[in-house]
Amino acid sequence: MRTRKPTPVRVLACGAIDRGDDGAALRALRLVPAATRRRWRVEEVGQLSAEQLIGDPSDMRRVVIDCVAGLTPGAITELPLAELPELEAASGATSSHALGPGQAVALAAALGAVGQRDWFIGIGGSSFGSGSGLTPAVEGALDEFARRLVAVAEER
Amino acid sequence: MHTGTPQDGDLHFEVGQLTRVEGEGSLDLRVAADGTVAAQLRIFEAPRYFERLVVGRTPDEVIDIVARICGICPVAYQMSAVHAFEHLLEVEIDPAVRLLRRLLYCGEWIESHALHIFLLHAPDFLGYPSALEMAHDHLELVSRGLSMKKLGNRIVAIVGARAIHPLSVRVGGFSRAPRAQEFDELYSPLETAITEAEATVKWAASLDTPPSDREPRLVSLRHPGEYPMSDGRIVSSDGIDLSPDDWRSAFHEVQVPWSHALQASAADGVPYLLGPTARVALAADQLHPRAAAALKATRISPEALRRNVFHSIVARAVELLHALAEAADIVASYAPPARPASAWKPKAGVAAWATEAPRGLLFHRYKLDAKGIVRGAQIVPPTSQNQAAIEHDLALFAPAVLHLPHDEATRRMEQLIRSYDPCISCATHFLQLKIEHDR
Repeated sequence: MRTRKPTPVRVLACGAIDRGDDGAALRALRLVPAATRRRWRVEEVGQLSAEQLIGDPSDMRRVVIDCVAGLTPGAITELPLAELPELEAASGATSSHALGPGQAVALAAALGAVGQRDWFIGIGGSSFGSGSGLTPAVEGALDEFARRLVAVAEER
Repeated sequence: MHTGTPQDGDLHFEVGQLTRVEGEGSLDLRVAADGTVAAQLRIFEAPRYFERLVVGRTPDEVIDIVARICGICPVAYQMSAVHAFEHLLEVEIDPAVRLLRRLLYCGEWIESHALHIFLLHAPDFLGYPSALEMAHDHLELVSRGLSMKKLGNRIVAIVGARAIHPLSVRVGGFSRAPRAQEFDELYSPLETAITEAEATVKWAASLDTPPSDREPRLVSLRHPGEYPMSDGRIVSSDGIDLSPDDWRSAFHEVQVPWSHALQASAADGVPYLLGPTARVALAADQLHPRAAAALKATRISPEALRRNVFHSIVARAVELLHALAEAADIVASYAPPARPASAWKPKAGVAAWATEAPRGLLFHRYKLDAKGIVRGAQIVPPTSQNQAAIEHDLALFAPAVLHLPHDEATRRMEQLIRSYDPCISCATHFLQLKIEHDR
């Protein structure tokens, strides 16, 4: 009997741990069992940028996790990474300092660097102040955020 | 945009939000009845108070805090701070540590210059509103830019422990020096990138640049044996020659009512230009041989490079090549330092130094007490120093484009502003364009 070769997984966790709900993805990652995490290539990327999505093997599944302003705090959304630009445009969130995550994905997609295997999981957040912790709504949804990450990354 | 305010007889031109620059600001132009133009770069991003945040902190804490001023050029802030402290504290630096710091700076120049050339400035020359639209027609160009940016980030991550806001720089050296094997992954990408950067210089020189002619005062570091980064003397095209801790003897900061960012000014009030054009003009003889050869092959004269503001993309491409070639040389010869950091003892006094951020000279000055705690700070980023030159050049350039439809005039003036690669986030943090005409 032949065993199916597992799909390589790369998790790109966005956000800053010391900026309130912006640290939700990094905190959720800590809730994932170490044995599961070891199967993945995990990177804390701060803010997602287009170059982070280029150069990966085509069979790799990339899962981007982040906290999203504009969603109901604590609400979790998952969608193909290629659809993130639409979510970002709908939320009205833009940055004058850099490409937003959705714009970064759109740029990478224009280069053919975003595939059908790639997913985005976001959790709504409301407070992004320096030095603050998670808001209760995000704290309460963190276990579910981590569970959804594992399910998407492991194709369960 | 508003054009014309008949009540006061002014013609008023307003660019609401500068795009493809780092930060937030606007531009107001007032055109007098005699045709003279006054430009005001309105930087309204909130002050960030970093000079106060570092008070009460130790030098090593300051190095980590000032890295947070900018996500594009954190290394520059670390380098100016660490050199200032080490100069005061008379710390002797291992030559291998010094090379490692140059490699770290090369990494930052690569990611910053690649970002600006390919993603922020190229769309101006090729007629696209953004890199995203440009990518559909110029896939190879955008891909090249992203690959180079990724490589620059990777260098910073290996040396600095993190690509953005690196962590490893310490007074005396680094908290950890990489093992030589950690650079193995860089050899092949650097060689590829050097070849692509040579093509980039040629491409940048082939771009159709708008006419522009001015004689800027250029200021940069200059070192007798290397291209300016962290050492040398502050020199200008008209004879300024200062130690890098002595910036305040020739320059000072002033508050203008229309900007949250302090503007820096020379003692005589004449604006001055920092950055790639200044460095290439003042230190062309120190360029890496491959960068010097690529610049020579463009057949752009040193005078044209200096006088046409839009040729800054060529100067930036030359520096991109320089940084890649120097990084390759350092990586190839790298041997870890015996110790990652030299010991030091606190001392009261004034710590000051200037290094070359990707956008130009970055000056830091700290007052330390006997325990080595910072009691006062002054940080003068390159965009603060370039503001007056940007306003001066806009006033010169505007009459040539004000007759154009508003969108086109705005695009041309934004292109000029982007030639400086301004980082408003650093300067506090740009473009609304507002024009007023006196009739």
